[in-house]
Amino acid sequence: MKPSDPNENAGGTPSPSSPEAELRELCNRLLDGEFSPEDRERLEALVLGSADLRCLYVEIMHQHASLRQNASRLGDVPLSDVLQTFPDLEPTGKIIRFPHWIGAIAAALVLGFAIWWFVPRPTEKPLATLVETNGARWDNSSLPTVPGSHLKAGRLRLESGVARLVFQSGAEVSLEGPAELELQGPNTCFLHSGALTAHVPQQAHGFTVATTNARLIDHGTDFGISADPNGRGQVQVLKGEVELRHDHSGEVRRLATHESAAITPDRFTEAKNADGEPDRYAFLRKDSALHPSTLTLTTAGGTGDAAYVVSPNSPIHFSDTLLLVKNAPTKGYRRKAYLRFDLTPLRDRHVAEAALTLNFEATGFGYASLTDECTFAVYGVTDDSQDNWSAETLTWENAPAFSPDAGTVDTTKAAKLGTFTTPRGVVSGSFSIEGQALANFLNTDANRRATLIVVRETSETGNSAAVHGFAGNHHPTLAPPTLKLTLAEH
Amino acid sequence: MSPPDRAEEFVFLLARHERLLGAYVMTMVPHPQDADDILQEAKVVMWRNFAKFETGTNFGAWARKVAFHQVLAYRKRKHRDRLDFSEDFLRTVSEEVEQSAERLEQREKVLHECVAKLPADHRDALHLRYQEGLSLEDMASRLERTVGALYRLLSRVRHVLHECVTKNLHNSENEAV
Repeated sequence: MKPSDPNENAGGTPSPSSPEAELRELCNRLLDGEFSPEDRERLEALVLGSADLRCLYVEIMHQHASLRQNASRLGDVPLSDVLQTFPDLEPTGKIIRFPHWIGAIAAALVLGFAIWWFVPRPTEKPLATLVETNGARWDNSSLPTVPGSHLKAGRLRLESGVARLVFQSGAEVSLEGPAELELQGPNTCFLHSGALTAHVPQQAHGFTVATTNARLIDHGTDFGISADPNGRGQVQVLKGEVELRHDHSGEVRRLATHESAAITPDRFTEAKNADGEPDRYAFLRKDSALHPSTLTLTTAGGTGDAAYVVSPNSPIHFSDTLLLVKNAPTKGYRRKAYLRFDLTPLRDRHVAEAALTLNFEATGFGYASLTDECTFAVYGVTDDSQDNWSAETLTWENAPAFSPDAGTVDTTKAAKLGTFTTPRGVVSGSFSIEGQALANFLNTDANRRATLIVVRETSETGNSAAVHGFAGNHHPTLAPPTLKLTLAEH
Repeated sequence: MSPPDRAEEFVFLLARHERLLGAYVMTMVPHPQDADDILQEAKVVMWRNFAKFETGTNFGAWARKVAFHQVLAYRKRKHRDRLDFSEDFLRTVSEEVEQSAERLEQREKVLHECVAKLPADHRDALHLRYQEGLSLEDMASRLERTVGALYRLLSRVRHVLHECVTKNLHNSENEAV
C-alpha cells in the first residue's frame, strides 16, 4: 500500500531562497543525496562566512548524529536487538581492543548506560484503565495508581491488596499484591512477579501475559497465572483454553478448562496442588527453621548520625527534616548525605545479608516533572579513622573520604557498595540497596561505626530539576535510614 | 588510585560524553563508517593517555581535542578526496562545537520529545533510515515511493525537528526558576 505523502510535489529541488535554506539543502545532499566537490566548496564558504550558518551547520550535523546514535528510540524495538546494534560493544576487527579487564567493566557500565538511553520511551497512548482497587498499597509505580486512571506503558508495583484493570482490548485483569506488572501493549503485559487472574472476552482473544521464561497466549478464557522473580510460575485455566510457549525450550502446551501447568526456567512441568488450591505463594514463604535472626539498625540509634553537606556558597535550598542530595554541573548546588550506623548491637555476629533503605520525600525544590531517571550510589567509608564526624560540624571541606574540590568521593578511602535508581519524575518512596558488598563492608568494619555516603550520580543537565531528599533522624513521620541485617548462625 | 578505579572513572566519563563526541567527529567527517573508525581510534588513544587527564577538569573538551587529532591523522593516512573538508573548515567547525557543547547536549535531550510528536509516517521514515540504516534506494523500494519523494520527506523531517528543538529549548529556558 502506498502511503499518501503531502510532501510529494511535482518538480525537482526548489531553488534555495536564502543562505540558510541553501545550507540546509547542502546538508541534506551531504547526508542523503549526491554531494559534489562543488557542493563541498559552497558549504565551506557559507559556514566559514557566517557565524549564524556555522551554528546551524553544527546543529544539523549534531541532530543527524544524535538520531543515528539513538536510533532505537524511533520505534519499539526489543532490547535484545537494541543491544546487538549498540556499536561500542562490537569494535571492528582492526581496532585494538582495550585490556580485558577494562573490557569487562566497560561492557557492564557502558551497557548499563546504553539501556538507560535506549529503552523505548513509553508510548503516549493509554493501554489500559485502572478500574478499581481493594485495599491496595502501591510501591514505586511508574504509573498513576488512582482508580479511573488511564495507564500508559510502564510498571505497576502493588505491595498488597487487589487492583483491577481493563486493557484497551477488553481483557480484564485482577492483580494481587505483592506483584509487579508491566503494561506493554493494548493487549499485552509482562508479569515480573506476583499473581493475576484474567477474564478475556471474545474481542480480546490473543491477550498475552509474558513472564521471565514463558508467555501465555489466551484463546478465550478465565485463567490465573503467577510468577516469581526467579522465573518460576504456575498457570491454571478456570474456563476455556490458553496456549503456553516456553522461551528457552520452545515447548508449546495447550491447557483446557481445569488444566494447569508449572513454569520452570527450562520447561513446563505438572503443577503441584493442581486442583483446588494452587500453591502459588510457595516462593514467598521462607522456611522459618532455616531463617536466621534478623536485626534492624537506624542512624538514630546509639552513636549513629545523619547529615548532608552542601557545596560552598550555596545560597538556597536547605532542610531540617530531609537529607538533601543533588548533583549539578554548577558547583554551588551540590548536596550529598552522610550516614553513620552504630554496629555494636551486632556484637560478634556475622552479617549474611544486608539492605539499606532510604525513605524519600518531595523536597519542594525544583520540579519532579523535569527530573529524569536518577541513579544514586552508596559508598562505605573504609578508613575507620574517618568515622568520628558529627552532624553539627560536618562541612563540605571536612567530610570524610571526599575530595571537596573535585566534588567526588575519594575512592581510596571509600568503596562503592551499590546503586539504586529513581524513575523519571519520582521524588518520593522507599529505595534500597542490598547485596554482598554491603554485608562485607559491615563485617569488616573494625570500630563498629559504619559511615555511608549517598551521592546522586546522575548530574542535572537542564535547569529546575528536583532536589532529592530522604528522611534523616528528625523527620516527623518517615523512618530514618535503616539497615536490615540477616545474621548468620554461629 | 588503583587501575580498576581509574578504568571505572574513564568508562563513566566516556559514557557521559561519547554521544557528543560522536556528533563532533561527524561534523568534520560526515561519512558514517569513517567517523565510526575515527571515534573508535580516539577512544583507544584517550584510554592510553588517560593518566594525563586531570580528574575534575573538562573531560569532554579533552576528549574532543584527542578526537580532533585523530581526524587529522586519519586524513593524512587516507587517500585525499575532493569531497574532504579543508583543514581551515575543520578547525572552525570544531571550535564552534566546543563553544556550543552545552547547548548541543540540551538539544539532544529535547530531540526525543520532538521525534515523538512526528506523524507516524515521518517516524517510520526515520526508523528505516537511522535504525535499519537503509539507503534511500532501499527505502524507496520498501515503501513503494520514489527516491526523490523520500529525499524531500527526510529533508522536511530534519527541518521540522530542528525547529521543534529550537522552540522547545527556548521554552524550557524561560521556565527556569
